[in-house]
Amino acid sequence: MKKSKAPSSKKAITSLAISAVVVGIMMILLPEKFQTTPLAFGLCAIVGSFFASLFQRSSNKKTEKLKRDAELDIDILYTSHKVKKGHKVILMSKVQRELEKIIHDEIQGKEVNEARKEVLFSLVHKYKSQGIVIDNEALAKITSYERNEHSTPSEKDDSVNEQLKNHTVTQLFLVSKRQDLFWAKNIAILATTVSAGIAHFYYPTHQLISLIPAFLYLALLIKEMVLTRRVEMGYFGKNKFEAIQLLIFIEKNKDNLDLNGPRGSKRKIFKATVIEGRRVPVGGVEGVYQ
Amino acid sequence: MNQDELTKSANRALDILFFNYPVRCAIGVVFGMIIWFGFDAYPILFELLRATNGNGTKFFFSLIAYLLVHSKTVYEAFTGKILSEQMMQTLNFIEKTEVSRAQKDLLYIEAVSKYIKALDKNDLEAKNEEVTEE
Repeated sequence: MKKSKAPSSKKAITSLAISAVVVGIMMILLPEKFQTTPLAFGLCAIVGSFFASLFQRSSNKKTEKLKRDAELDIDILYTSHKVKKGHKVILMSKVQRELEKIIHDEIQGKEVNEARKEVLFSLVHKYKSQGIVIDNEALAKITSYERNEHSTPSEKDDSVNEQLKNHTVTQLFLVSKRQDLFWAKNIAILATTVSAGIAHFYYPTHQLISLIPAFLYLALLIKEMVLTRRVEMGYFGKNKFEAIQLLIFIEKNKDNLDLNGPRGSKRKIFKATVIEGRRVPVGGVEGVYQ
Repeated sequence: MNQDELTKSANRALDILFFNYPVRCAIGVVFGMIIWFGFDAYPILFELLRATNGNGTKFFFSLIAYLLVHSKTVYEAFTGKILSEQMMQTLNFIEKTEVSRAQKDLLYIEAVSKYIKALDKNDLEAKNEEVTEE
């Protein structure tokens, strides 16, 4: 499925780019009489908005990916530290989420653990409407598969650490900011097209006004890129203003956020800083646990 | 100047430009444009407002519309002190101390993690009180 999808979108984008270049060349080569008409300006605005909305799609995809990283659950089945060690219960909401993830991976063409998928499916079939379930048989199956996957405990720890790399509070902040910026950019794109259209039909003397939302869109795009870069490199939050922003974000969303992460207190606050192409752990250990 | 400093100042500048609320900013721009076009569509507005017919008036009222959308932001800036005074003092202190970059990073990490721990503690205490009251 993946193979058929990627080239078609690439083809569409290349054909659009070529057509845009052709239109641009035609506009340059056109006699001056047509160049000064308001139509050229309106066309430019609309083509620009179209390209911007294509960018929007890819940016939204990236946000989804970041969100999946930030809300990653390592222990999918067992509840957190609140339950005693001997009493392992299964949360059906987590089972469903994990199943969704597996199906998503399968559609994308990645390798999935078939046995695990089967157990999860059987769980969903068995206890459809229940929230919490005690099923030692299924648990034993799942833990045995996990043991087979990771032969030594150190390997398992390594893989868990690798997964937890993006599992930070700053990542949560980034996701929420990106969602905000996504809507702001949508409004800016819409305003650009609508104002260009209105100006073309009703106020031919005020065409330049549609440049304002266009510049706003550009500024928002730069903001998004800069913020993403800062968080990914691990710079974000380590000066006064950004620390204040981060704390205000935590204070406002303290009831909605899972600040502690899945297994007790495992969620780090900052990512390890990248200096000259490699990650430098802060204070000797990679990141600092809460 | 390294990448950290560059992106830091860019991020700060863009935050100030959007007043920290990009969605409100975009909506404000749309409202401002509606006002601008409105003055063109209904020139009687100039007479109603007793203003001179020119771009200056349009610009002024568009700006007012933009700021009206941002009124909640302005209100929050004056009244809503979300962070406690103590926390702000701590952050100011860390900003001013003359230690190396890595040590400063550690101080910030400690400050933020302590804040989160305090949140958990406050939450527990509030729940305790609720239970005892019942």
